[in-house]
Amino acid sequence: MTAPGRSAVIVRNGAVLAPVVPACNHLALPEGLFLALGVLIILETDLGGGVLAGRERIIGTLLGLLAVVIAAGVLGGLSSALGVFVGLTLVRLFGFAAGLTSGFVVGGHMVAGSLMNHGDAWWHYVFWRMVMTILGVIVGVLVSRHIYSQRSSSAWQASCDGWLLDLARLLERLPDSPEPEEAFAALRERRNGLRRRLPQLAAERTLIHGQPDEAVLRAQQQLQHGSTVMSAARDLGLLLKEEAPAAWVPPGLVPRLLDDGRTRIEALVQGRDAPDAVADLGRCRDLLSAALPESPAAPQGDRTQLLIASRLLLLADALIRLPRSPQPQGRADAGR
Amino acid sequence: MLPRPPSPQQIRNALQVGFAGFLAAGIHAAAGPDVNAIDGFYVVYGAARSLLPTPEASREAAWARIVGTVFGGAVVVLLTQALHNWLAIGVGYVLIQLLGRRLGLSPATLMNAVIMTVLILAVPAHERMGGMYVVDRTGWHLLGLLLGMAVERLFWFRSPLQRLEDSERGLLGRIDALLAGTSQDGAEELISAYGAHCAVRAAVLRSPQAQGLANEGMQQRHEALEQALRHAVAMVRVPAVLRSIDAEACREALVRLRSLAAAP
Repeated sequence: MTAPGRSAVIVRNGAVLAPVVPACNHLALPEGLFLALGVLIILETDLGGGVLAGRERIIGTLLGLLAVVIAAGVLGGLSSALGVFVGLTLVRLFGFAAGLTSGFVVGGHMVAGSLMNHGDAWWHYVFWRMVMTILGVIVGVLVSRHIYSQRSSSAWQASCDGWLLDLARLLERLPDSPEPEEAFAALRERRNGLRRRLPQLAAERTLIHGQPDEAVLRAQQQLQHGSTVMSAARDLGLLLKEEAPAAWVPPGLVPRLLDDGRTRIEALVQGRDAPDAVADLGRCRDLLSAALPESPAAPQGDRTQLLIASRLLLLADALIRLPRSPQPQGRADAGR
Repeated sequence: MLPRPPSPQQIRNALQVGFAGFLAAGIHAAAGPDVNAIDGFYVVYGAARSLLPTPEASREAAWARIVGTVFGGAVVVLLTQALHNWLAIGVGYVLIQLLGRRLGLSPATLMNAVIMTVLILAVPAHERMGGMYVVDRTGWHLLGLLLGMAVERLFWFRSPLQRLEDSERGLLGRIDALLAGTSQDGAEELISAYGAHCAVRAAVLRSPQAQGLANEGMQQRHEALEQALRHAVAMVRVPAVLRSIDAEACREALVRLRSLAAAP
């Protein structure tokens, strides 16, 4: 997000939060504070991240309620310290069973608030807190979706395109690159970052379309095939430093394939297919497959050559399968 | 999504949190009747916020909580000296975000800071307490967080280096299963597992145990593991006719790794 964009989101959040809190007080909503906190949690990130945070918060709150019902209701005779032990232990166990990554902290808040601060009124507290949390998450998601909406999908795609373009540039200078290891390590980090943000993208698209749609599938494929291009290119760089391609590898195939790869990736990022590059990649793949020795269980000396051939085949195949990025026009409309 | 049974490690974590909360509630009770009930909530919630998946994560979260609470509390308390109406919440939020970003605070710290805007300005009693509310909340929270981190160290503690060894064993098991043809892992799963392993390694490198990884043997061991993994991932991806080449290279890397691990 650009600096002006970030500032606009901060102002949006402040402007939303300012009337929400007095409205809760004015309407005398029981535990209305948690409505405001629910809104805040959602607005602190983009739409996809907000959906995930909201899901964690609601499930964590429900599990917290269940733990409090057991610790304070069913086992009501326990001292507060024993009740806390039971409540906090149960909340974590329930949270892990539900696959939560952070929602168990909210559940712990429910247990601590009920048992330590609300005494006999624990049911009023946990019930209304749950209701207000759900309302807050709903309000937050509505605001996040309709007012100056920050979409995970567009941010993800921009990052992915940047990653692919840097990969294309690395392909271009691969044979002679002085420090490819560091460049590949940086690309790997960015790939891992994209992978970590995929659930946000899926959550956002599911919210909008009711299920993960073709945008999620395309993102997964871009990551999968882009990742293969990166690994194959990295291995290839190391192998070519060890040995030049053997005589049975069609002459000029390595620079041709790398050049096609760069052309193809640059076109894909611009929303085009580069059919000439695809056709040539296919020809390279066929030529290399036909040139492979009969028995790949070759003696030790030939292994490097076979690994070079294997990585070239992988590279060509992944470049052919890599999907197009959405057109900028489509991206601006993404998810509307 | 269907519930899944917690792992033994998760069960231990749950018991640790429960015990930390038990201690926190006990300390609050021992402090006597002069202490407010809400302080009991702060200290127990501090314990509940601790004991995250790794000690490093617990420490970072605790730091973000304390710094965020103090920073956000200070900004809001100062703001309320000048502004008392509903606008204060919006202005407080914007001020905290802008100042916090300028100071380079992490997103987690900022989140804790902006929560203070709501907590102070949405509850009149908190606003009346002003700075004392911030001090009281921070102090009891800190106690709870420290209790949680102490319990984390006392029971079933695994040092970063031990966790790295556990992680390496797990990764080797997955690669062995792949070579044996009994694995369901695809390239993505293997890459993800290696990413998690590298995160543990990064934690070791940031810890006082970093020198344990500094010697050449450990470096070679890491390189051998990475090589084995690269060939394992390639095995899943390459055409079947070339798979045996990567399988062979993967086995060799594993043999090298195991001989390095066995070396004194």
